[in-house]
Amino acid sequence: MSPLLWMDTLDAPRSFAAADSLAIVILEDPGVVEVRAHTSDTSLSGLEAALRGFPREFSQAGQTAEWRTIRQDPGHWLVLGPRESASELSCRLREGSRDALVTDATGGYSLLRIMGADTSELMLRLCSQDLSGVQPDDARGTALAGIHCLLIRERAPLESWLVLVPRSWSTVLSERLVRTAELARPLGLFKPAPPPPV
Amino acid sequence: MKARKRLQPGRDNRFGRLIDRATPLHFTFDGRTCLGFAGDTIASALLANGVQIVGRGARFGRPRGIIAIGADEPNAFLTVADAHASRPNVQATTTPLIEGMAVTSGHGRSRFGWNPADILDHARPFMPAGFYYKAFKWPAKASPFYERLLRRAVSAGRAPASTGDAGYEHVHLHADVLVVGGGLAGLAAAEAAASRGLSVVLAEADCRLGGMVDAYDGRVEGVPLLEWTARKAAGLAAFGNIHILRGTTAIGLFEGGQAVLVERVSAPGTDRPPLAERLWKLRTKAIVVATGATEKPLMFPGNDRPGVMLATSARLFARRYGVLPGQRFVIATSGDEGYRTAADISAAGGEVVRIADLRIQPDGSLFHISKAHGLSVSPGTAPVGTEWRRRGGINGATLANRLTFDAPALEQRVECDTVLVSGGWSPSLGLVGQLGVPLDFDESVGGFHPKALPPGLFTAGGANGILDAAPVLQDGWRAGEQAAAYVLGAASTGDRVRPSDVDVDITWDEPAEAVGMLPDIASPEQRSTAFVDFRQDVTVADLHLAAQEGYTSPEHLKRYVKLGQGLDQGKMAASNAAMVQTRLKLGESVQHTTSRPPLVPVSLALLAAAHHGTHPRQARTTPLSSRLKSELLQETGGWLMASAFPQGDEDHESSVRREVLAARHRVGMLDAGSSARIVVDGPDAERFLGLVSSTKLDGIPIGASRPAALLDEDGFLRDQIEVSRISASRFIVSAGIEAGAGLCDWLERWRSSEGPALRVTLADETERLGRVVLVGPNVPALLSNMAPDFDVHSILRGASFRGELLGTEMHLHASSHTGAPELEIALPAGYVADFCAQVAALGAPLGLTPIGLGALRRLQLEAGLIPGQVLTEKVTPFDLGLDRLVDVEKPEFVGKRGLARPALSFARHRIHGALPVSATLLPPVGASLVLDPEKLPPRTVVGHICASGYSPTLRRPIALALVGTGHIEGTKTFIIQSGAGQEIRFVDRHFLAREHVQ
Repeated sequence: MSPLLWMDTLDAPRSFAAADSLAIVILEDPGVVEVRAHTSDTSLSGLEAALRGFPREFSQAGQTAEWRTIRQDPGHWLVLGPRESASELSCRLREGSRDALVTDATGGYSLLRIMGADTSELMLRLCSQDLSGVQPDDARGTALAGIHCLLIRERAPLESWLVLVPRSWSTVLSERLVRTAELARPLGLFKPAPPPPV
Repeated sequence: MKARKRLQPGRDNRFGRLIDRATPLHFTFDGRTCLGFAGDTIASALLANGVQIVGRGARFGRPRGIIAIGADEPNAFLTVADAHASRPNVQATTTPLIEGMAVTSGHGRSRFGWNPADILDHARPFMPAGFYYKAFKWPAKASPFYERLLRRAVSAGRAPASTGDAGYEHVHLHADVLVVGGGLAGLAAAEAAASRGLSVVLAEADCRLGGMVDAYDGRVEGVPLLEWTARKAAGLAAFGNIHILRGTTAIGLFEGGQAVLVERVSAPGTDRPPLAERLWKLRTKAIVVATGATEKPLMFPGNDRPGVMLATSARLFARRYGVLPGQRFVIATSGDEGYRTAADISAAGGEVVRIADLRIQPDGSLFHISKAHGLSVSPGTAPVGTEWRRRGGINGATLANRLTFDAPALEQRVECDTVLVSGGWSPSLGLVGQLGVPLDFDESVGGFHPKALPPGLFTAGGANGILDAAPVLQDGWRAGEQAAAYVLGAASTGDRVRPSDVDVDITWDEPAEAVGMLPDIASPEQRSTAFVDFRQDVTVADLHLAAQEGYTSPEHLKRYVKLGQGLDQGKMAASNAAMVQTRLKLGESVQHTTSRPPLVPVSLALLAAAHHGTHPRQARTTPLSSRLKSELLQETGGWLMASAFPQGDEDHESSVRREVLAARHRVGMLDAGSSARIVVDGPDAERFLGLVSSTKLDGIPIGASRPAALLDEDGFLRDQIEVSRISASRFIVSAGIEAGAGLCDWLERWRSSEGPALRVTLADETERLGRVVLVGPNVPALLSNMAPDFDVHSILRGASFRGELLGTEMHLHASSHTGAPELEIALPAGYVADFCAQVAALGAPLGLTPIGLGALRRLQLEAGLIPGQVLTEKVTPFDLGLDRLVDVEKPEFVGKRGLARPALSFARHRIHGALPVSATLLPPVGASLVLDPEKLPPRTVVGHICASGYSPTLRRPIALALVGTGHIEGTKTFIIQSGAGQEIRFVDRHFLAREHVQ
């Protein structure tokens, strides 16, 4: 047998739905390293500082070089980046924090991007959380179409979100995204409208 | 077909303002072709076509017509089909007419000209209140028949077989203020809140704003009321912070500012795929309920006959849709609304035969104007009867004077074809009641009012019992201001222009008299035909009977007589029923019964929205799910897995048998990606596992594994797992292919609740790994081809390999999913597809066959392994002979106290192999095992079949049975199949290892 090839875990067309104002795109599987430490661990603050490069507010995503670090909850971080270097990063993190549980979770998550002017309206149809206050580079752990996932708002000219979803849920979520996008009509929320009939 | 009751154009431009006569719409009602116009509702089109009967009462089957114009209409719930879908229980008064609609009432006459339900009305004396409870108890066996009968009688519609191609969606929205109701009060409230910079959602059930302003004439700030309202609405729409939802009904208010609304999106079919309805889930900081008031009908004998209608509704049908429901009218009114309607009817060409004013001495301006116009007005007069014929409808009404104390009232018959009634107004507070707000009945006004509103909830306008335009505007503004102040945490300011400052020139109404049953001194016979709840056929006599029988509490009475339990939720009935109860002087203050969402009927398709189809529940998929391309998918343990891989024209069973034989004689490949794998790490990991498992897990050597059991708190078996020790402080917990759903969450719950001090960390690796199981005698040969240097046999004997192979991390070990020689291979999910492709190519000469869940279960059954579904049956480890997995010496483990209960501390059942004596019989799963098949039920049941199937290896049906330990071995046991007993023989469950099956 020859060395194995990596095939992206979400087996679907790259671009699900493309319209003038909305695109749903499957990205390559990201490299994901999960770091878990017990909250009573005395090295926790040091570990956090090492992961982020600098202390940041809770639930914010800090971008350092090509890796993106997200604190999910106390003592639990996700580090996202290129898949090829995930193994090396996890080794380095293991060396730097012997008490923490560092796992290379690459392949455990799929990554999608939703972008375009109608993104927020699509999100309204799938997410009960108010995402209007999420700043670029911030992340929110929430449920999209009832599926727990991580949303990261991107710094881009158009509204754009990365959706990190557990691999086993990615097919269902992508189908729901497409179905919802197909059915959606503009909501035109809180915009001046023509006079309504009386 | 000509619309018989439609006013001709040009008569008066006040009439028919909402319809477009240039756009005719064709539709059918109970198969009859009808004609309407764009802008019509179904109800207005039906009235225009002379349709009188649209439904029947639930108890007596009495025919009923359209009585109201809005959401309070109790009778006109119809089945409506269009090109995309069929929907039952559609309220005709709030649904726009579209071309090609097929509307059915389900209550049409037979070809003999009558309906079987007509008989019920004659049996009225034998069906008093509560007769359901008294009559339908005997015999118990007839309950299913009674249930079907009652379901048909209550006219609850028939659920369609499918949702058609219509789409439904849910939308979540966060806003500062929700204003429910787009009438004058709602508009004022929305303006007040929005002008403070808050985001406001204004929801109006109708497709237009303004509520009932078009029922009144007058001027505001010098312009006609309707035009002023249109300007105001246009001004609000231009705000950037108000979102107006038209055609949207608030169906539920919940704590914390949550509201659920249903929006009719558009006429389906305008584009593809069509969207029929949208469910809004709003989270707001404050809610203003400006839902207005409901006009009350009068309670008099025969008040339910088709042709009796609310006065304001009749006026609005004429003004909006150009429909006059009759030609000769009697108007009975307890306030001034009757006079307004009389003026309109005269202007539209109808004849007002008599206005019966219930008040003894009316003195309002509208009374005098009507007299001056020559209308026949009888003060102090009440309707006390109607004459109605099946063919022809109403042909007369009986009026009587109310000034009688000890002598019979003077009665007078008046010829007419329509009776319009107005019993005053009652605030619409159904939504407020949903929040648990006590609604007290005020006898003086004949309506309810909220006792104390919760923080963040405000009522305005008609919902507060305020009915005249100027105070309504003022009250709406006040509610909006208070809502804004609540959100902003500031006091409302008084320096802005308020609606009270504007000039309102609309004739004020004299207060309506709150009346009860008419005539005031009524006989039991009269009370038995005076209806309070038209939908549920509840009469005044029923309320009296309930009171006699001790049902004095409104909640008890509601259940006894079924008041307000119909599709309309008794919106029109509540106030009149409360008035009757109050007049009965039962000694208790009368309150509104608890209101519950939804306020109006909602389609199940809308609630389900995207969750419909072949697999309505969302299920997880493995890395191989999409690559293996099986047509037959099955949900198990929250995962969507391939059930079988049929070839050509094979059916499921044939495919399963072929796959089983392949696994037994050659090699099969099974997707095991659903089995849970959890890392338990930390210095206290061993202690934690000892706490959650009933099995002794101390001292597992590094690199070794041990089977273990997890119990729930009650002591029943939750999962069978395998615990492997990787290092001194790290373990891996694995579950079976169909087990382990929610295992990580369960462990995490115990970690955080019971062992927060333990230094343990959990990591779920189920997602990141793909797993494949190779099964069958050719596994060693296949593995030798894959990795020639491997010591295959040592792995199959129990050793494991963990390291790099084919360029990636891989873990190989012998597993025991099927009882056949097995090798489980775990590797990162992204490599699984290529790995399987390469293995398939290598294994083809060895007969490699993909196998699905069906084959897995059959292989497990042949091997006597306990199937996963048995774990759902509340069994203990002792029941399944897994005593070795319980260490009773352990001081504590999850489920120990439950398991220590006397009833569970010994084996209650045993699991046996079961062979039907007849080799052609396949015992169905769940079949009871009985000792006395000849007896009629109840029989002596000693257990049941928990798994069964045809064994391709043994060439006969086999089964597993869970049998009570009290069952004496050797006793003949049977299952009932097609009414006859079929004998079952118990054997050792390890079928393949025994001679008895050969």
